[in-house]
Amino acid sequence: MPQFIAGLINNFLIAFGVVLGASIFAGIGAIITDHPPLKTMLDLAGSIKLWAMAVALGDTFSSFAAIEKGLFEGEFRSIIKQAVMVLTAIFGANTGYYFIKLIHRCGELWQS
Amino acid sequence: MAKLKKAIIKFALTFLTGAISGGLLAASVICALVSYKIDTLYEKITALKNTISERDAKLRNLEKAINSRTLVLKSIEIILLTDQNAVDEIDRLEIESVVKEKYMSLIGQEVQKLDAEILSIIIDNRILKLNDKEFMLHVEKLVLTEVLKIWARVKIID
Repeated sequence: MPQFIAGLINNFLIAFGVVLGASIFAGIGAIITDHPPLKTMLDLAGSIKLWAMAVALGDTFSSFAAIEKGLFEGEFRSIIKQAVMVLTAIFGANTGYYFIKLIHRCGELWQS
Repeated sequence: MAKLKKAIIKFALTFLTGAISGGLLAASVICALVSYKIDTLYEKITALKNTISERDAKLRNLEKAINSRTLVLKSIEIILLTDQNAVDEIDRLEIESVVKEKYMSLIGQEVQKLDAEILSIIIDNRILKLNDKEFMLHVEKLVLTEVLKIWARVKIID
C-alpha cells in the first residue's frame, strides 16, 4: 500500500478514535460523577473535534515545513498532500462526532 | 521451581491484562447502551425539581395573598423558542428554571400593579451562563393575566 494512502487511513482512524474514545470515557466519568452521560459525551465530542484533528496530524511541525516548502520552493504537490491529510483528519473527527449523535438517535428510537 | 514461578507470573499478567481490557470494554459498551436512558432520567429529575420549587414558591406567595379579592398573579409560564437541536433538553430545563426563579417573587401580587414592560426587561437581552455555555435571551412576546406567559428566544453564544 502506498505510504500516502496508509497515512490517510491512519489519520482518519486516529481522529475517529480520539473523539470516540474520549467521549465514551467521558461518559463513564459522567456516570461516576453524577452527570448526564450522553449530554457530556455530545458536548465533549463537539468540542474535542479540533484537538482530535491536531492529534491525528501529530507532528504538526513537519506539516508546516511541508507547506513552507510547497509555497516557497514551488512544490505544490506537498501542499495538496498536506491538505488532503488535514481533510481526512477532519472527516475522521466528524465521523466520530456523528457516531456519538447516532447513539443519541438510536436511544430516541428505542424510547418511543 | 523457577520455571513454575515464571509460568505463574506469565499467566497472572495475561489474566490481569485481559481482565482490565474486558472491564474497560464492558464499561464502554454499557455506557453507550444506557447513556440515553440515564439522560432521560436526569431530564425527569430536573423537571420534577423545577416543579417542586415552583409549587413551593407559588404556595408561599399565594398564602400571603389569600385574603385579597383582587386579581393576583397565580403562575408563570416560560416558553423557550430555539432552533431545532440547538439547545438540548437539560439546558432548556435549566434555563426555564433560572428564568422562572427571577419572576417567582411576583406570584401573589396584584396583576394591576405589575408593569409588563419592566417584566420583559428583566430577561430581555440577558446572558445566562450555564454548564460552561452562554445563552442569550430575547423576549418576543409577553402576556400578563392571572398567568404570566413569556415567549423568549434562546441563542447560544459561541
